[in-house]
Amino acid sequence: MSVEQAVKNSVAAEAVKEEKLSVSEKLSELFNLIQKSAQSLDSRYVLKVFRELTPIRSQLTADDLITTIESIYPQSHEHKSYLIATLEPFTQTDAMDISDDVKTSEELLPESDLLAHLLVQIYLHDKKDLKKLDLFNQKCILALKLYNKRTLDHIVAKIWFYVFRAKEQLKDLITIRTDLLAALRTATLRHDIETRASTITLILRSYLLTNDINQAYNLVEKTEFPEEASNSVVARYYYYLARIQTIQLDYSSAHECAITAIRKCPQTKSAYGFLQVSTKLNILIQLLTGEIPELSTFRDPVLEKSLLPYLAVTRAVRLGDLNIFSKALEEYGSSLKKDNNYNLVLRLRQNVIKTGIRIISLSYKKISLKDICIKLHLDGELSAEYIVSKAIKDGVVEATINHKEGYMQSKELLDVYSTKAPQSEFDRRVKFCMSLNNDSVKAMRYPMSTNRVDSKADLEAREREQELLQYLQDDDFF
Amino acid sequence: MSLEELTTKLTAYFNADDYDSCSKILPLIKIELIKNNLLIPSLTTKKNPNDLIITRSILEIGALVSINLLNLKDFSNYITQLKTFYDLVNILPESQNKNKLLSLYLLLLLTQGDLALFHIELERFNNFGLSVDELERDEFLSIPIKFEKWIIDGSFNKVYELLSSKHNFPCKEFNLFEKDLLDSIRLTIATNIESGYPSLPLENLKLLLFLKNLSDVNYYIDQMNWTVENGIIYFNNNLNDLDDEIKDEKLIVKNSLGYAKEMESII
Repeated sequence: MSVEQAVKNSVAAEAVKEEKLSVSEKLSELFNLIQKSAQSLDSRYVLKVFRELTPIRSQLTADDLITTIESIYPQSHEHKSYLIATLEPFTQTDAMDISDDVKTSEELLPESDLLAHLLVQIYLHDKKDLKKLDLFNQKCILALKLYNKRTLDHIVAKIWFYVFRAKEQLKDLITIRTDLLAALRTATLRHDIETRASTITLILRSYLLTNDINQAYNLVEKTEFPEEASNSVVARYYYYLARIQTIQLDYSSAHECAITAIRKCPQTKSAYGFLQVSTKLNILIQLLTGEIPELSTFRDPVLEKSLLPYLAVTRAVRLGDLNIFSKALEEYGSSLKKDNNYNLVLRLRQNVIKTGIRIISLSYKKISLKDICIKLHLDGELSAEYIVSKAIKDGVVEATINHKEGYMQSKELLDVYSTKAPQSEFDRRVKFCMSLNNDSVKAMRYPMSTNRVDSKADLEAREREQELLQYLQDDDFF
Repeated sequence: MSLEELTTKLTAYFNADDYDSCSKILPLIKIELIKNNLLIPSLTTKKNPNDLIITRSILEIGALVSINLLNLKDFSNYITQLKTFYDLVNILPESQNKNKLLSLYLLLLLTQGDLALFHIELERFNNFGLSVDELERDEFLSIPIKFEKWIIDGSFNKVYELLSSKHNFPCKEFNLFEKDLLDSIRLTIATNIESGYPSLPLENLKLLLFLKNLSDVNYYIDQMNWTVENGIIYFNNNLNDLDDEIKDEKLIVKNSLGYAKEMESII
């Protein structure tokens, strides 16, 4: 049976349902798109499906889903029975007209099959019936193993997301790891970029939620993350990376990763949560490296409210006052704990002293150790001496200590423009712009023009390309 | 010998502080444990909690024995094995030795200067619902945490004071780390001094490194390659200030040519 016929059938089914709800119409529209992607072996249509799914997601009902599944699956398909059985408890109308054989198609594309699974997952997830979702997920994992087609990648990645999501909500983070690791291995062997990226982030999340930082770090070390995956997954990966590195005290790399995560974060409303979390982490990293974040960061209307505790902490660090710091900790401790950032904030206590020394060295050319002691509430000149020498070693201040006379003397500020630094910075930025330009050129698409004279030649070329693609797909060249 | 006999023997030796005999029995016990599939608990093997508790206490004894014999590698191995037992919070009651052993392990990480792993271990306590400032209230765990803070701060004199007032620790094993920890902070201090001071009299260096006699001071001077003149040490670290100046014309030319090539490909 040809694909065309399947299309015809679904078109016919659509025609029958004309008077029905618009949601189920839209759903079958999605399945048409999926078929198109299967025919043209172009996964762009799958992305379009996801885009169109977002607005109707909240309107999905079990009835719509069942009608759609009925029309898509052949009568005796084994997946059909459990898909419908899962949805049945949610139906509103009892008298479902499901005996109508005309609607059902006879052949099922793997793409449609998995999309149906995904839709049911999304439905169960939005209904917050996690136990059922978890049960259903086991069937999904089995279904995933049946297919190996590159046009499925995006759907498979999403299905794994919901599989893990259910486990996370049920607080069962460890048992799923075996399945995820197996999926990662399969995806890597098949060059399935989307699933690979998605499973890596999910496994990292699972490790981080149980505080197995070492395991997470090992995973990062041993795997290669596909940078060309969807932006939202890449952003998530960088966020986790930043977290791992912060805990390992590697603040400068962590800072870079956090910035990348914020920049790659999607600009939609639903990503605000991620933006908040990663901005919080970034603020802490900045403070830990001794920088003071810009005030405008805290004024962003989307973030302002959630960043309040961090603003208080930043103020304390900026003033270099331990008393204010303890007060901020007392007031906002619980919300910091909720963000899982409390331990990092506690590390800042040391930075309060560092910032204090830095401010002193900037304002005084020469100051006795005793005065430093008094200003920073330290308990002895000897303490001050050790602390200052540590600060010099760490590069917090540019100064020397005169032990005999007991003072710290700041070094003359070096003129940056007499060094190589501006040049290398300029070079770095030019290179970045160049590669951005090159990447954009590479990413552009050149669709075949429809009204060109030699459209026939085009068509032939297209057919040849199709054949080649088909061949590649069938033989699984990868 | 059966597992029970071996275990009773082990506890007898351990209570008598006969660590050498303990270390001879321990490998035999481990083999028995592996035979009974008890050494590594997993989610799939459902074992009797009592058996697991006994295995846990055997491993704890093993850890204490190896630390007392200053066998640090074995100690780390025991801790790694014990961690899987400590994670079974739902099945087993908490061990009394847990915080003691883990704080010893944290101290070991400090002496090895592995601060990254130190913090990773601290994060793991979140699994038991404990944040760092709650850990500071624990009599055992407060010690490594305090040390780490002081080391990061640079308050080395406080570390020294606490280490030299030996009898303050809640258990004797903490004293085993005194020498190693002091050595490791002395090295840190020495590198700090090198970058912080232009010169320093010998007497003061002795004081800053908490050393008692001059021969020890000379050991550090040799190790750090410092020069001494008339009882004053000079640190030769001010040489590389002007090295950063632009000298590399070739690099500038190379960069500019690269930019030109890219520009041309765009136009």
